[in-house]
Amino acid sequence: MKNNMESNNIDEIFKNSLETKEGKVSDGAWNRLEFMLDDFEIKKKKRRNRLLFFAASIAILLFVGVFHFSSSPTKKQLKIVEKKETLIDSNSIQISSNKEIQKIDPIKNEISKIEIHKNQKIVEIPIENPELMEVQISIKDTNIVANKKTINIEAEKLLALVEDEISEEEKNYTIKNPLTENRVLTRKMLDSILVAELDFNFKSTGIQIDAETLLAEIETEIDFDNSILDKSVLGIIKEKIKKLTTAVASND
Amino acid sequence: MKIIKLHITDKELIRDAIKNKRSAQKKLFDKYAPKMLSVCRRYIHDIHIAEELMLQGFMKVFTSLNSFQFNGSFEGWIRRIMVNHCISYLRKKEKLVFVESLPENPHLEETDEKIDAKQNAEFLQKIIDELPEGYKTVFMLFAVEGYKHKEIAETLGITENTSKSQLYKARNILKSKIKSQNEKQYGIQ
Repeated sequence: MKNNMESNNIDEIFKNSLETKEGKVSDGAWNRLEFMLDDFEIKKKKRRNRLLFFAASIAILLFVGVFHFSSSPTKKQLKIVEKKETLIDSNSIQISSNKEIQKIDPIKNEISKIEIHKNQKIVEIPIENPELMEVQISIKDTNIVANKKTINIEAEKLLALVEDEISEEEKNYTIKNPLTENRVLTRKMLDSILVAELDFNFKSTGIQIDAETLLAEIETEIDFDNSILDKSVLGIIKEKIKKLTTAVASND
Repeated sequence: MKIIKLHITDKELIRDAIKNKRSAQKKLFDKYAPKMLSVCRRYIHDIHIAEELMLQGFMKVFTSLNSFQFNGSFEGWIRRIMVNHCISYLRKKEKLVFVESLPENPHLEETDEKIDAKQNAEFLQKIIDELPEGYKTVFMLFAVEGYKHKEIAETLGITENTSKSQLYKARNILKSKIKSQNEKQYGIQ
């Protein structure tokens, strides 16, 4: 008890003596503190501005990203890396693969694309109107030579397949005929001319021909070198027919 | 009739200081700086370092005024910031060394010396400065700041027993120095 009192006594002496003691602050102390406070404020503002900049950058990136993805085309795309058979009918598209089966329900007057990847080659088949989709493509063996392959095709179908390749700007064509004045040919008029030319040989009979023959026949009928149609349009048609027949042959 | 406000309370000054009004901050500084310098000086022997730590402590005070609850004493709040800042400094400088040895019953072994209550503050500060940092810090926290051993242990990162041991040794050294001083001054045996 006595020692406790002694301890408290010495504690009290120090407490009473030191607690009330005041030190002498140097003259420039406040100025130094003010400088430190100003510096702190500047750094705080810089930090806030940097944060705002980052926040704004992220917001802009998000906005651009959302805008980019929301404005991208709504075309349905099917990508098949490995497949044995592709079947297309008017109501649905069904792809059989040794690994998976994908199916898309009826296409409602939308342009759809099927990309077929096989042996590093890509075949794009644009389909504008499902009612015209009577094209049946069977791919069985890649080793069959192209000129032995056959295809059932009608003029309207061929035209439908070619249509997507022609951009909006090219939908009106100028006919360069030395006998008449240059005039604008509408897409509808062009379609009817093409259908008429192609149907002359194929539509009435729906005959089976091989790919090379088909191309040769079309070239003969349209007469690419002397046609009154614009060269770029003919070029697209020719290229498309070649691509189609080559792709079908190589994938058959 | 024009009423002139002569006295501005701490509360008003604090509210203005929160709004970054330099005049209010300066008034608070002028009012509390001498006391806080003394607080820092108790832990830090070098007066220049003590003042620098006090300014840094005030920086903390002004930048965290928002967190001050107007329930307790503002001076007590500042004092605690100052003490913690000084202890952080000592710990960073690795000046705080604690020897963990405690007698079974420390109170029974304390020297039984009569203490003259009228001691000079400068002398007390001098003998405090001569103590090892660990003893000095624990003694100051316990005797002057009023911390409990549990709080001291948490603040310094030591055990309560170490805190008690440091206090016991500090008291014995201080008592013996006061005794010597009394003998020299008054011839008390």
